[in-house]
Amino acid sequence: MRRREGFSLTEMLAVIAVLTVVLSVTGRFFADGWKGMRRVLVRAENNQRLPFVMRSWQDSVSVSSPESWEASADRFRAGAMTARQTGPHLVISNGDSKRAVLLPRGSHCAFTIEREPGRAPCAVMTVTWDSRYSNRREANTVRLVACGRGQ
Amino acid sequence: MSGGYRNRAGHTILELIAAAGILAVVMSCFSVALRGVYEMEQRCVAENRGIVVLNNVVVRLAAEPEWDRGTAEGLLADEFARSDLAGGTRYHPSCAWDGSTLRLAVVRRDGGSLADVEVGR
Repeated sequence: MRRREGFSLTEMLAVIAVLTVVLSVTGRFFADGWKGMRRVLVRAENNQRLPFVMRSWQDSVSVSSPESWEASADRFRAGAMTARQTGPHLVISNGDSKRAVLLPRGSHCAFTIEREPGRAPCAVMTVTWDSRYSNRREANTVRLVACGRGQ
Repeated sequence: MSGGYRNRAGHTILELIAAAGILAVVMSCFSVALRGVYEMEQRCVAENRGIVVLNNVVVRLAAEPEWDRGTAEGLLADEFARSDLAGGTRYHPSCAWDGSTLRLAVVRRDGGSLADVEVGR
């Protein structure tokens, strides 16, 4: 009886084919998992930053009068208070005091004033940023509304 | 063969197929776990957006000298329409009035609440 050791050529080819498939799928899963974890961390960080931005924005505007509001694309002014984006921060200055709050990563702020008939005027800070899902990009837009006093 | 022991080297195709099957099961479990993380992340982001929408409505209501259920419904619909949650059928705004308390909510398609707040007059 002929003694047989190891694989035949056919078995070897089958093993290589199976291994290639298994390794490529495993590698893909690992890469997806890694990217997913990073994405979740960035999203969690952004979601943690938003409430602080919202609170700072609303607190600063709430003590101002709507008559004093002025908004341009990158700056909001209410009397002595000024809010603007400086790099990754929302900087709110009021006289000598200055406060910088971290914005979501890669975000852009725009300021507008909405004066609709029959409704109280409100100052709106719109924060926009992009996030990635695998190979597609998703736009995030958050409206943060603040109203003044004496309305 | 010697002394009842079969001298055997390497694996048979059957063993390889069994090993590949086990690997496939493990990988499908991993895939399900990844999918779960993705859905949880989506839900967490949606909840955050829902809270921002309701916060905007409450701030705008507080600035109104007089408001009623109609005002609250109008503001909620307006803020929801301008948020990332609009433009699909997954979420919708809801406003319920029990006589003294107004309950504003962003509701999921299955009826569950994504975010809600109660406002008293």
